[in-house]
Amino acid sequence: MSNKASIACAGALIAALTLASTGPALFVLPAMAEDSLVTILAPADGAKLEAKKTYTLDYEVQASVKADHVHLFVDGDEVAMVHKLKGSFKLGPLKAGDRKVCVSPVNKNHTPIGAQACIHVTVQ
Amino acid sequence: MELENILYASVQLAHNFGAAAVTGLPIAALWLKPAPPVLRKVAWLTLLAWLVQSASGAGFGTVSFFQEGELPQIHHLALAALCVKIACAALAVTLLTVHFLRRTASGPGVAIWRGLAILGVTALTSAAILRWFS
Repeated sequence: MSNKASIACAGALIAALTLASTGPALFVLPAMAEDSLVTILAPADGAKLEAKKTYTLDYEVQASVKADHVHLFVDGDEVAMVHKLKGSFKLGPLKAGDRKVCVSPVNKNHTPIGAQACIHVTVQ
Repeated sequence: MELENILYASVQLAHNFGAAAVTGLPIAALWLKPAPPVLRKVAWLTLLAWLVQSASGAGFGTVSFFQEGELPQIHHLALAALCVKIACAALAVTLLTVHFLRRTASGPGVAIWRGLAILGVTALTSAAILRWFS
């Protein structure tokens, strides 16, 4: 092996060892328990809704440099997306039964940031 | 936040240039009809571009996972678009790999270039759906 190749190999090894030792520090995994950045203003948690009717879900996301838009989930299934940090979704018509409605703030890559806000409603 | 933006921007940079290459190179090959040795080089570049697309595509999810601890929320139409993109990349890489394994001196034929152009356009179209319907 030539001198240049030896130097290149040594350099690559040092770089790899440095990255292996400091790499994890570059990536900060969030804490397990997170505060939600979003508040569902209406309907209220535990509200009784009528099936076949359409409601308005109002939400507001706290000011955050990461939040870009929000996703709406009904029973874990994504049903809508809005590119506003304060606004509303058209909710319904929903099937009868107990439903879990959640709003999840996400970044530009559609990745959830912070915990989602959820309400439980009873649809009759 | 700065690091996250830098990482996303770097991945996006590679993905954008890869997208331009996987679509533009086959169209250029069909349109300009260069000499066989040049066609062969263009084919290698196209293969490299699809590999960059695959790696950078995975990079978006990787950055999300290591920065936020979560993968992007992708459902329904956006998920279908992502599957189409992955299928396009797999098909294009397979097509080019099979061509190079044949060890022919010339570049790929018109049929292969047409196929690659269609795959590139399809992937680019799916990217728009993935971006705005997630």
